[in-house]
Amino acid sequence: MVVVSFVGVTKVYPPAVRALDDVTVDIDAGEIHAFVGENGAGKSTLMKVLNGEIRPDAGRVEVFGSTVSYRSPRDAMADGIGMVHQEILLVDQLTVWENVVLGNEPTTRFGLVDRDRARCEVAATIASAGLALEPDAIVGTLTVGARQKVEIAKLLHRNVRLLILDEPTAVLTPPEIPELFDELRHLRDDGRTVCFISHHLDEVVGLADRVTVLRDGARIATLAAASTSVSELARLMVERDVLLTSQRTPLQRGAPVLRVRGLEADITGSSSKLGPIDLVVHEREVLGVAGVEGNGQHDLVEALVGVVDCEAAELRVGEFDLRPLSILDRRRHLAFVPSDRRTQGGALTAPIVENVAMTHHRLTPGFSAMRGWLFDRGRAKSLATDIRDRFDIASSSVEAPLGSLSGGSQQKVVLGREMSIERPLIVLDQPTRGVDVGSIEEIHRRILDLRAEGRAVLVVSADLDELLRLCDRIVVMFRGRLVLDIDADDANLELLGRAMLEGIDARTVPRPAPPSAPNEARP
Amino acid sequence: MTLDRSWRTALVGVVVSLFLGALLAAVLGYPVVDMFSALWRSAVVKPGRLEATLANAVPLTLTGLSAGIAFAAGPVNLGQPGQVLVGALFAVTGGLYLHLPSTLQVPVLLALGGLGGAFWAGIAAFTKRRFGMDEFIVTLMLNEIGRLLTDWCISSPLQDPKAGSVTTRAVHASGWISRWGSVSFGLLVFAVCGLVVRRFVVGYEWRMMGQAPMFARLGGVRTDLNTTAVLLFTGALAGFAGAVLLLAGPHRFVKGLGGNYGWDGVMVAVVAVNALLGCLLYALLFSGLQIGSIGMELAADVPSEYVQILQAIVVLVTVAVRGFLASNVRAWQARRRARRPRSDSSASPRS
Repeated sequence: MVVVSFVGVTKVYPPAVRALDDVTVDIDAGEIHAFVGENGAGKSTLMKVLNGEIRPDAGRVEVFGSTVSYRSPRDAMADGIGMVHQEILLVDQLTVWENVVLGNEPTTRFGLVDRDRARCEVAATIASAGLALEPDAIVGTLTVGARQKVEIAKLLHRNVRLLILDEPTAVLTPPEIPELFDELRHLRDDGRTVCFISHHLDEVVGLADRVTVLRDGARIATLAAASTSVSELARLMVERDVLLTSQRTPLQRGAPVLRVRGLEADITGSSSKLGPIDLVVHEREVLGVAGVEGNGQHDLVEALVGVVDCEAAELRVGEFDLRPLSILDRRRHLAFVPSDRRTQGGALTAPIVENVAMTHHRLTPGFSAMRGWLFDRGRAKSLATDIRDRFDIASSSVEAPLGSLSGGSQQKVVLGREMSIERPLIVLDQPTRGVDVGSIEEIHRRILDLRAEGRAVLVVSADLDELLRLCDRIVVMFRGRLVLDIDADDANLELLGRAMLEGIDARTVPRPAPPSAPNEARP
Repeated sequence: MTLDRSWRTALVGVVVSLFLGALLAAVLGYPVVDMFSALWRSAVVKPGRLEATLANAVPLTLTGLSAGIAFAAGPVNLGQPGQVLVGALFAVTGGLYLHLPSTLQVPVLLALGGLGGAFWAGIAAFTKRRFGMDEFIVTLMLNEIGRLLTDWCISSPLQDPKAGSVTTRAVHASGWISRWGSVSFGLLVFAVCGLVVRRFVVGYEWRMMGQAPMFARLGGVRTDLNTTAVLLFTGALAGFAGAVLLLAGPHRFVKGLGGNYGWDGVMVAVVAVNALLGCLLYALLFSGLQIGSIGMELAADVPSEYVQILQAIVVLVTVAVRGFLASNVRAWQARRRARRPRSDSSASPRS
């Protein structure tokens, strides 16, 4: 039975972006339906149309055969449709059950909140949905994964029959993912319908019943997950065979560039400490830092760049001691692509020109005139045009705001800027997070170009495939320490996964029987 | 292109609010046509009125720029009323005790006014850097302290013993400025602000800080230094307004000298969305309404307070129109384009 039909749904963002282009697709009752596509393919937009957040400019949405015209998520909720967004908004100080009933509290005859009944109802909802949640836990103490479940419980408590999840796994640590998937399957078996968006094709194939591929706002195909494969989906998404193999050629590494000895710092949001860390990155070498989020990789990067204070016996780029230097002075020796391009890598509301001028404006001769007082916009403009052409970024004008570009293009602008700040060391924190497949390939090629030019590259990534493809050497961080340092040619997913999850070097620790590979638990 | 759109929005906002103002006046039984023509005549047409409107716009523009530049860079400077008063206090003190030739006296007194405003904002900059205190609260609270301080100064150490009211003596005539002098000074400061914000490296850093503070910091912008600089700079702008009010106006620090210029400046910055030229134009509009109000009362028998209602309508409607046009014009464009076939939309992200 069909729950929802999209018929010719079109959404245009002026002046000419067709976010959705004549999309027609059905969602069956009791299925898990995945939506995949590159960034900007229209997945989120389509789901927001269903959720009543976005009104289509043409076409219609039918729910149980009748055309609906939702004006807000509240209208969709009344029809049993609800969405879990990537950003989770909960009241940290309240308990799980209080958050779940918030806005929909059962009341006593006197109009007071019936706390006992509310708590019982929530506990029953959680139990029947098989969610691993404690109703009395304070939400502020929960992990991101558990908070996501609170959002799901919230929808279930409001009798939502069709759940939409926007990239639910992006915020989860690897062990949390199979748990979520079991819960989603449980919900489906319970008769509910689940729509979810993901960038991870392996997840999609493992979890979904059917998969719809979107490209440039148009529906390309809807397939049964059982009869498709990751490579077929990837091909449909980008209409070409993505080469997910290493382009790395052997190179003789040069002299040490980054030397870190005994570096210690605090880890934000964690009781464990960072370090002591010893690390060397050489010329013509890509060093990868792997680890489950929150194990100190991000803090290591911040300590290198100078955002947070650290103690170190040695912290050098070339012969320069970074320890006494400010962020600006450190930028004379290193280029840096931060993990969050929207708040750290760039200013979305500012023109592309002004985004590429950052750091250059103080350090590169020619970007300012009159002894550094006047800002030379012409120089910034020629750099922006140059980056746009070299990286093949689709934009009408370099005076357009950065936010008007797709996520992948934004990241290319940031990468282009940092590559043009020619420094012996470049630090990249999650360089391809939330970036479409096509752009990932290009960003990887650029990183390898930097290596070939003789620079030292430090890449932090949660994506092991990416690290295996790019790096000469990989180190794994676990609770703030390096637990594995391995040549990429000797590394494999199992070794890295065990180091990430258990903090052990599986080459020296005997393998327990029966053999288990935590990373393969990810379907 | 964005300039075009914001111009159109502003124009629609002003026209709609004048229309609503007329409608309200009609409902209240005022002679609408007479009222507007009297307003126009006594703000612009009658001899000397255009100069008055322009001169009155100078302090408004300065306080508007002060608030707008600060907001656009991040630091919330809401201390314009206090900075105006302390600026005027510095200027009047200089004017009473310095006797330089006019060509020197005027610039020195104006500079003293700027110094006074910067000093008053500097207190907030200091407490921000030293103790991490929120400049939003500190600048706001310094307004009241500034008012009490200047009231005390003009009623005790600086008071004119011969005057019957609370006021200082007049500053030496070499420090007086004419209406045109004040207008030229306003334009000069406006040009300097434009240069600093649009063309200087620090202006670039201020704008980036305002839009994405962490991006600026990681890119090597010294955000703490810049926050101090922004507070001092915008404090000086408000201080200039105080000096101009004093030297082009009563030439003495009378009680209530600062009027409502401080808060009106914040209002100007809000309707202008912190755009520099916008601050200038809205300041002119509000100045014209204020100057025209007395003539309107005399000629059309409409209470001059009605102009305050009109100002409030302009503020509300401009802000509302901006939101309305932003959502509805785009929705309309989108629907129109959705009906066209795909081929004529511009190239897809990947060819």
